[in-house]
Amino acid sequence: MPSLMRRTLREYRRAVIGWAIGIAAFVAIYVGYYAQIKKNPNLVNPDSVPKGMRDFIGVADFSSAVGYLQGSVYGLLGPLLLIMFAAMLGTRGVAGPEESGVLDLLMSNPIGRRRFIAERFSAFAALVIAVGLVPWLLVLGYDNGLDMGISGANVSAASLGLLLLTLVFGTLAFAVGAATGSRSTALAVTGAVAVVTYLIRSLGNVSASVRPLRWLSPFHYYLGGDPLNNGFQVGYLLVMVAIVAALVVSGLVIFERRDLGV
Amino acid sequence: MVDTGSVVYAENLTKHYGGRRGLEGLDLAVTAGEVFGYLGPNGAGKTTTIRLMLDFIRPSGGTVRVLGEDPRHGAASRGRIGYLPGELRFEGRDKAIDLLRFFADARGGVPINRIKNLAGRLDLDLQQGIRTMSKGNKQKIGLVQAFMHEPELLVLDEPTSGLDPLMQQEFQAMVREARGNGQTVFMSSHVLAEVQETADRVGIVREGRMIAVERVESLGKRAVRRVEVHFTTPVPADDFVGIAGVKNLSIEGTVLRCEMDGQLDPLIKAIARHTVADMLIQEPDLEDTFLSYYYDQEGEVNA
Repeated sequence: MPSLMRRTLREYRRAVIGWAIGIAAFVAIYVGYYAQIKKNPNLVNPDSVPKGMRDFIGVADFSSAVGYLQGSVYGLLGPLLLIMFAAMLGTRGVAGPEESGVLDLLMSNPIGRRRFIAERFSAFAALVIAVGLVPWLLVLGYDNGLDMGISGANVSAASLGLLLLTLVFGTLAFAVGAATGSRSTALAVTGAVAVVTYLIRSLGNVSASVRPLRWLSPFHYYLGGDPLNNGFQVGYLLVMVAIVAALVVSGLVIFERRDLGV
Repeated sequence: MVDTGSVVYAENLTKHYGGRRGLEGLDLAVTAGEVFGYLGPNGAGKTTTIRLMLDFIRPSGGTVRVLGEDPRHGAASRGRIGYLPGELRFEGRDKAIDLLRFFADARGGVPINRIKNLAGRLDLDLQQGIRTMSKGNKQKIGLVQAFMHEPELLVLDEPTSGLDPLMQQEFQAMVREARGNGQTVFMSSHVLAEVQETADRVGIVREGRMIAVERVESLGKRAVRRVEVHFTTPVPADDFVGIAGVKNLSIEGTVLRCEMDGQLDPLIKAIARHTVADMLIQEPDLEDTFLSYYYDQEGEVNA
């Protein structure tokens, strides 16, 4: 493995282990609670959430296994946690060392800017993927253990979508950080884009006038094909991969041209 | 036409940061194997020049070449450069040796003995965590990583800041050895005395321009020192009038004060004729030396 990538993995190790444990605990507690609901479906009153709200979140029936997973892990809190993690890690790619003043010494080595981005991004992406596997494997395990009756392929389809969604926003933070050298700018832009695109998809479920805009939202490519019911939507997944690639390239192009640490 | 014989070459090099000025048409030529002292007050453009040489920032105009290459396309050749930043920062929980191993790897490998040898000379504990180190020890890590791969060109920004006097001497020995090996050294400082010991030539930068490049011997002669002598008995002023280089002479009873521009020897000889209780000679002040340089330049023009 190239030296900078190896070093970057070590640099991120602690933070990533912390987040992985937190995300695992979140998934285990939420999904594990499904055992209670299964025994006593009245715990969730289908009518306690108004229909408009259910449409907004995109969940038809919270007491069904699919509905429960969508409402908990896949719908809002799961993406929120994972995107926070990935955005935090993304800002550490370039903006972190630049703001803390250690970028000079790194770049004085025979590592060109393109290679710098390549190795930093590879380490970042590898760790986002590793953390994205945590909910994936846990939900697969609970699906089996609690007999939730969702096919493994569908769980994998939704989990891969969640992983790529995470990578999209993490890469946005990475790219804005590479372009500007500012962690706070990278976080602010990523947060704003995540909230706006989430609202676009959610409002698109209830409002016909917003609906055409859903193609602008990564959340649409993640959940728009209803992967927990319909399985892999290869086209949608590839769109997210393409967004990631476009973001990295844009970040690199600007990073290659600009002054560092000014 | 780019001068390819120089290890560092700049012509009309200009850098503006937004509205702020960095460099205003700087010319510079450092030849292979010399120690070049790059002097100037803070904010004169020293660090800007160095950051341009290493491609951290891009020029607004003019030309810069390092080891014969445009820094913009010179990533590979940075393995032949040893760089010490002016503001050295580290992050993370590394021990010194971990960081140095990483730099060694990134530069294609350095024998571990060379790292240990340099650390030993500078009295640096390689097993200590960098986070807990003093400023001086961090500076030593910076020096070790700059020297360890025996680069063709050393670019050192304020290299002795934070080092105690003993370590400054060791550093000067390292620079002399590098010169002996045929390495080129480019070091910046705002203190003349710091580079005077080791430099062959000194370039003086001010407000983004190179205002003078001098062999260090000639600058030393020009160095302005403040002299204060306390005698045991009052001394006659006549004994000190007319000594070459003495300016602003004042004698009040037993105390003589003056400025000395040039060789000290004639003044010392004159002082030695009386009994001296105490004597103070201030280090040559860079700013005064500049002023005297300007003054002389203008004098020549007028003459």
